[in-house]
Amino acid sequence: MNTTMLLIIGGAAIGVVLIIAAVVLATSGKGKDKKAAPKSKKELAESYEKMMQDDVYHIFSKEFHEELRNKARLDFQKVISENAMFLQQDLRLTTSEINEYLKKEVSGKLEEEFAAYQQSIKDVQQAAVESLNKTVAAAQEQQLALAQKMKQDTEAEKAQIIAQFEANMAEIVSHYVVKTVGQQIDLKDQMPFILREMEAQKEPMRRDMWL
Amino acid sequence: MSKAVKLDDDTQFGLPPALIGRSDVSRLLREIEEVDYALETQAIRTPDQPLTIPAISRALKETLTLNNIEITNLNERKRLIDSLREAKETAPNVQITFAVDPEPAIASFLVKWIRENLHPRALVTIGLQPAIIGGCVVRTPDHIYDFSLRKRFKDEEANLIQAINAAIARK
Repeated sequence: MNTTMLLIIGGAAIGVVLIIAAVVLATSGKGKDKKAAPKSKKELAESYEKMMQDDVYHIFSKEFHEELRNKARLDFQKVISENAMFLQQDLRLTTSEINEYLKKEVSGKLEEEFAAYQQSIKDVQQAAVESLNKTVAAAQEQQLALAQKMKQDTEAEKAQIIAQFEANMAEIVSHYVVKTVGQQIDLKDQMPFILREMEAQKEPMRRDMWL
Repeated sequence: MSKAVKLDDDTQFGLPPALIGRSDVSRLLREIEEVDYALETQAIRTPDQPLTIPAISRALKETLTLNNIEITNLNERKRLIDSLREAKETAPNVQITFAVDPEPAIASFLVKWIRENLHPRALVTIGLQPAIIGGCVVRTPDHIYDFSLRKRFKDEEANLIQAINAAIARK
């Protein structure tokens, strides 16, 4: 980048110096054409030679000057164009290099970041999986314990209910029979049963009566 | 110790089935005493005229018939009164408890059976206890004989539990 900038600035400075030189050359030849006197060839030659030595610009006409200026301008433009082209090429090269560099750097950084991110994601995932596994294991243990407790409680309650039911079986059946048949049991129908029972216990009852 | 008194067969006084409990005996005793008083009064007032027997209850009639007693005969009346007093005080009492109130015919039938098979002068008290469901509970002077359905259920409790367990196992 800095080299390119220096080239641009150097080219611009050279161009400015050339322009200033051309302007100075153009202005320095004015007013010297008034001493036009008939001289011999030798004098003329000497005079020209002297003029050439003193002021090189007196040998060129205005058109030639203008032509030189144009030529210089064109050369300058050419130089400028070439420099600009070089500059452009340099810029393109630099840009591409910068792009490559940036691409490389950014890709590397991104890859690093992605790798770190993936690693951290993996770590978090691993930690989450471990935590979930622990939670599931704890939940399963708790569920098992709860199921066992519930089973024990149910068994105990069942045993208690059965024991209570068996203990009060006669009362339960009696209550059920009383509720269902109640007063509908005819005493007349019970007489054979009563007499049979009393007949069976007749002797002990008789002994008891005659005590 | 029971108050029952064993009498000789010849002198044994019988109670008809219409006389169930001690209160019936007391009522009959009052009635026969009134009749005795009325007949004695007649005999004193009108010794030449035959005695007019006042209206008597069916229980008294049955008692007289059962024991072959001539009511106009003073001695037999006195014997009846003495026998009733003795029965009231000494006859053994049997309490029979039913689940429902028994009809008079059933009560009389049971009283007759008791007097024929257990004691001729046994007095019976009828009780009511719906909890026994059916059958009866007989309480003699020294024992309780439970012939109730509740007792049957209690006795069959093991079989019932076994049957229930078998039914549960089948399921």
